[in-house]
Amino acid sequence: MADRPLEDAMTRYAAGDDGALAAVYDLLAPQLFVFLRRTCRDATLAEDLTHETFLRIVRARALYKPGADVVPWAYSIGRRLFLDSIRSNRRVVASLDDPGTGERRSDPGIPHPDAPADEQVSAHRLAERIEDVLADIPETQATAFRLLKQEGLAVAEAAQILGTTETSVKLRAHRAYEALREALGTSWEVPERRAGKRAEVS
Amino acid sequence: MSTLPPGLRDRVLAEAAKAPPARPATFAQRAVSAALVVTLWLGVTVWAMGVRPDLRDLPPVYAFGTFAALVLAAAAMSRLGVARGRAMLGPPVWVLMVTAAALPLVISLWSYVVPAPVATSVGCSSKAEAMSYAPMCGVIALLLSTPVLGALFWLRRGMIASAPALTGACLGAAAATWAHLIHHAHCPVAHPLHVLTGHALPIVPVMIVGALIGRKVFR
Repeated sequence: MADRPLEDAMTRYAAGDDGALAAVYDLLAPQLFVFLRRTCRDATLAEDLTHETFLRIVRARALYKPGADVVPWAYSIGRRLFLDSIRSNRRVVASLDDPGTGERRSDPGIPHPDAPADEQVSAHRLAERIEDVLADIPETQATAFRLLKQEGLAVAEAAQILGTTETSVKLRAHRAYEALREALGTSWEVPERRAGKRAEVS
Repeated sequence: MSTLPPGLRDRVLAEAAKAPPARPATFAQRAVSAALVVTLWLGVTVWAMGVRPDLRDLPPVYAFGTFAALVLAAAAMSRLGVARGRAMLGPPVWVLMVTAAALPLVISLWSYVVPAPVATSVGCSSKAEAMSYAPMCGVIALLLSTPVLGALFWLRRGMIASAPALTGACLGAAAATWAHLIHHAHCPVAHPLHVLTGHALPIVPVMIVGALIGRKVFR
């Protein structure tokens, strides 16, 4: 499992090596926090959800199957905590004054930090518009899109997290894609991906 | 790391340090315990209710073929329902959907496909008489399912599922199939309609109960 450091660390933690939790945290927390922050659009709530997700993992560590994928598991826990927070009328507010602080693994059009300032500003505005559109469509469609296009997960992993079939995940992501295309045209896509993107999503 | 809120790491590690020590073999221990409980329950109920008096007269395909098929179906369904899967979320949703839909159908069809030796049915000379026992068998099937369902849920507790309701329905189907097995060993009424309504159809309400519980405990 040398090429799966997160699963390796989780396996060691589940086997009783308490020190391995720090490695699990370091490998998992950044992407988990970014995912949750994009999902709930509230940095404070995302922090709470990340915290609670880790506590759930800690409590369930004795049941962990050695080598099982950790990311879909953690995302699924985090997403359900988020849905619970909505149901219990906790505050979920999109804060326009608190732009995304998370790293973006595969966001289209996000420039390098050394890129010119105007390019960064326009990319940031575009990212905000994308998030606005995703906030207006059903949560399941937005999450399917985020998991596939922003988090870079496989369709099977996204299906597990969303608790549905792979076909349904593709359909949901496609609907989100169509909503984005309708709202933003093709400006939100990375130029080199525009040509083949439509066929890939559909 | 700089993107994460400061202090979150320390808080998580501090909270985790308060958690009780992990017992790595928890799932295996639970599985063994649940298997023992279910086996004991099956044995005790068959012993208490008695083996059907016409067992020796039954065609082997009906008696032992059905027995083996039910054991296989119940074991496979139990295994599927409690499986942790590749990502600790259980089997893929489509697998659960297909099996949850197929099992009641296959077991119901089995009642008709495998020739039932109606003539050997003790004390049942007519269809109406055989059917008169169906409601009682149905109630007994529900009662027999309950401890098995409890054991399967206990085994899987503390884990989330990709599809909580479907997973619960699978556990319900497994529990009801084990109950069907006890019925097959005990009830001498072999009329297909009696087997269908009194032994096989209770799978549906147990699946519904399992789905309702699963929605609560596996999410």
